[in-house]
Amino acid sequence: MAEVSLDKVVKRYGSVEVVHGIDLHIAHNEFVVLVGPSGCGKSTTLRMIAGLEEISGGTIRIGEKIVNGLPPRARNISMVFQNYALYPHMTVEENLGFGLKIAGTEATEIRRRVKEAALVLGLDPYMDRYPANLSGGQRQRVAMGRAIVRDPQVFLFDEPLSNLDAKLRGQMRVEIKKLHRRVSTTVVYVTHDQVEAMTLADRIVIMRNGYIEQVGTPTEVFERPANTFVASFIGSPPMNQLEARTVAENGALHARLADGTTIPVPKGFDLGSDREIIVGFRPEGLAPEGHSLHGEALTARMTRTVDLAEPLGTETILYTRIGGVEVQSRMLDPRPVGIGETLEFLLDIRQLHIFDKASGKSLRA
Amino acid sequence: MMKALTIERPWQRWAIRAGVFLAMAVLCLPGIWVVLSAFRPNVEILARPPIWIPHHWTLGNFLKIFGLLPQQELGLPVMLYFRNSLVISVTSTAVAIAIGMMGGYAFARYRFRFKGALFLGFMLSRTVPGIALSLPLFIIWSRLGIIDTSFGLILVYLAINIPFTIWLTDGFFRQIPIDLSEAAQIDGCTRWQAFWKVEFPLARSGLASAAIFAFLMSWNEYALASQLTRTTASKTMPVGLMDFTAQFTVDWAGMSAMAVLIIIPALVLTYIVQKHLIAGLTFGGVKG
Repeated sequence: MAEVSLDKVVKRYGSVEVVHGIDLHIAHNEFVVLVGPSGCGKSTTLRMIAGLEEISGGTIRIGEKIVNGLPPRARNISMVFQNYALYPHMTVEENLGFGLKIAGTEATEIRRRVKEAALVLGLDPYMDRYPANLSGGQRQRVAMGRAIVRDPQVFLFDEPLSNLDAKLRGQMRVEIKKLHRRVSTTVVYVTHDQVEAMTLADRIVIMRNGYIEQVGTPTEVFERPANTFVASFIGSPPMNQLEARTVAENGALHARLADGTTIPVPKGFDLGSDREIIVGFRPEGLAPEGHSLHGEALTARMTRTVDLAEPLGTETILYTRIGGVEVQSRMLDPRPVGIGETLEFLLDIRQLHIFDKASGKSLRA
Repeated sequence: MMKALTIERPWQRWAIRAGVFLAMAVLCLPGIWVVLSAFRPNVEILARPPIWIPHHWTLGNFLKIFGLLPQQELGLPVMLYFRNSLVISVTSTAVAIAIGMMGGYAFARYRFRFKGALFLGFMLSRTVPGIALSLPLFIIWSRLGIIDTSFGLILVYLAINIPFTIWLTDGFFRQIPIDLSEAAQIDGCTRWQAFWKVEFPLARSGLASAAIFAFLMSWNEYALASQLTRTTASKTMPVGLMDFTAQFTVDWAGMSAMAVLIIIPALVLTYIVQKHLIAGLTFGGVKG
């Protein structure tokens, strides 16, 4: 069993604190993705788990053991680096077997396990090559092979796919997911790419400025973002966010936008009248009439002019304005739309998110 | 630029070749002259007009300095000089590389107080001409009783070579991504093992070039050696060259032969090590 626990973990560089006492519990076999914009502390957190950065406060546990002062080699972890970090002077076979060799494993055993890992990753034909003679994807596989050969308690991935082109990234994402299913080990994975986070994770940890903003399953963070930051970070295109003030109209609560448009506020929010709020809705919650998947009950209807259309094949992203703010709409089953064309848009009320304007926190009850 | 290259005319090409030939001739002529002079009698060297290609090829100059000519009773202690030179150069190079490598690694990988100032200080120490130090060194060395010893000279050469080696290897270690050392540590290495098994092999080309520089510096150094050595106990080959000057005469032929003996080991060493000088070893370990 290898759980990973972070308890009030702090990282300071001199007087600058970059990670502010984060708490995180990762279960055995769980695939957890740390995601956030650059400088949010996700890589630092990973490196603290690895033992490559000392921690300035708090405790880190791997399994039952507190590993605060332990060097990386004593933590029984393996790590895949962003730039692969393969040993250039060793062949693929030597790269894969290096960790076992250092551990004093018998040569026949090393050969057996290296062979096994090579088969899993399709590296068999390249065993005698040097890293310089491999493609990006192959190097990435060697880096992963080097990690699994040692059969560690925890796998750490530091933005492993960000050096690959888009197509290869998609392939490797699938391979990593399959790999996790096969070797069933605890994984901590760092990325700035929310698509990677959504597709790979059992749970996502969204970080900003050295704080954890939200922890949850991909569905949870997508459907119930804790604040405006998470709402805008998860999902592509990002959630539309409009400033508004609550007003009571005909006995029901409405959100009045800057241009006077009012949108009914759904139930389930901790709200009173005359409150500064931010109304959020995803592009798929706003669709031209006849192109919505959600049916047309409980919608607000508005006529808008299309400023820009981005056809993506199966869908078209439309840009228009509500309350003076540019918003994006996802048009499924699209037809060609001209710029300047006026369309009837339907906004799905059930999918609205309401945030407090001052704190940015979700007002969901 | 490309266009200018592609329209190069044949005569231009020949002009460039002639220019290169001339420049190389100017650079190489003194060396060639020394080598040719080593294989001819003194009279030919002093002849006017000069004789370029020796009329009488001879190994006599070499035999003479080793005292191997039949009518000659005593040669020069060339073998002792050679031994001194070798001991001093090899020892000072080996120690300078061992210490300098660690220093260079520390500068490349660790953060510590006064790092910048220290590094600059090492560099500044190279700006002082050696000869300016010869008098104070002579006085201190004689007080310490290490004048005219190999040890004394080794110490001086270490002081010169270590800062230079630090400066050179710092650059080489900087080129090796720190991720490699971290990956090795995660793979189970101690920091020391990570250095020996991963970073050291990758820095080998850099260390080889640093070693050549250190060796050649010690091997060829004259100014300080001539002040700090007196007898065959510690005299090096370059200092031994002065044995060929008498009060009124200079044995140019003998001196040339000795100079050739000095050049050969340096050439051989450079030739052996040059294949390690090919850079680009780190390519491919990280994103290419």
